[in-house]
Amino acid sequence: MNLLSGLDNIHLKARQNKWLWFFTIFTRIMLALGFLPSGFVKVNNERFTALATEHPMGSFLEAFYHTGFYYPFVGVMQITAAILLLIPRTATIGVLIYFPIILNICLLSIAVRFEGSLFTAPLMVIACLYLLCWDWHKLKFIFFPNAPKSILPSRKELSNKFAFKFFAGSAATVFTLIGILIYMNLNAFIPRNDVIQCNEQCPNNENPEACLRLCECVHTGRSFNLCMEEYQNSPGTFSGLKNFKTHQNL
Amino acid sequence: MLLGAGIGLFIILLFITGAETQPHWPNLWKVRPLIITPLAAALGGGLAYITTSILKRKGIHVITAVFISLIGFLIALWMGIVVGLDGTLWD
Repeated sequence: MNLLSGLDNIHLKARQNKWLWFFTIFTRIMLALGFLPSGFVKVNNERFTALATEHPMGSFLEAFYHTGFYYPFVGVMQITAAILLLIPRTATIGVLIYFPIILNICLLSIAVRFEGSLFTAPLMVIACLYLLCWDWHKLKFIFFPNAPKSILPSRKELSNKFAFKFFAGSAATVFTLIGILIYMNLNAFIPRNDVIQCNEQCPNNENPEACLRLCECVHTGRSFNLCMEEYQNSPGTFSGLKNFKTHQNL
Repeated sequence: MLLGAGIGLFIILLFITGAETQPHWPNLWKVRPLIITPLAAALGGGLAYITTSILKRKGIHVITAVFISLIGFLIALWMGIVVGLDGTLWD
């Protein structure tokens, strides 16, 4: 069995399951609901959050807000992707528009360690990947131009067997992500929303004074990486209870 | 669903066509109701279709089934109008 037929078989098996069919509709609706409110805010040219501009994410969003027509344009694309996702016939193009936007949001959240979307954005990326796989019969021609056309089962042919392995895998993915976030909260520096919240993680740190300086630095609008570098270069930072890690070794 | 969306679009157009934009409203305030209301109405239409089918299958009279579904559709439409116009015409 070659790669293409193997992937086709997995896809066909998934497409034959009624539970996965319902799950796909649910995923599409949830993803659409995730983008509609944020899209409207941008289209109306309103500020996205009340985060201080000194915060790394607040600073980004403030700059983003001042980009002229680009800001509402992203909102228009978010709304377009959401609406297209809701319509079965256009769901594939919807997810193709949705995916790069949410991937950017996800990477941005990780880069500036913005806890507001550290959980949701990766899940939304995974959901998009799931929908892209669901539409494998349409997208496979990008990778295999000469692939044979897939014949999908009709709604009456769907199996009622509960997709236990799939849903167990999905639950495991969510719990793994929660585990990673807990690990990050315990071991990595998170700027939090303001300097007071940021300072709360310092008492347990090996070098509380350096940690307080780090919070002060991050929340006064200086470069996140520069602040981290200063923190790591502080004497007495590398051994102890809590060693905040930089992007390179996170 | 398509019929529901059409009804939603028609009704919201009645509200927003010719409505004056207040100075404190966003310039593109009409976008939200134009999207939210048809979506909510489409959802209501879908639910009404499913409800009617289920009730008819259970032996309930067609008129009663349609009436019950219609109430559900009107609630969805109402909610769509409220959410769509919240902060602008609804205030």
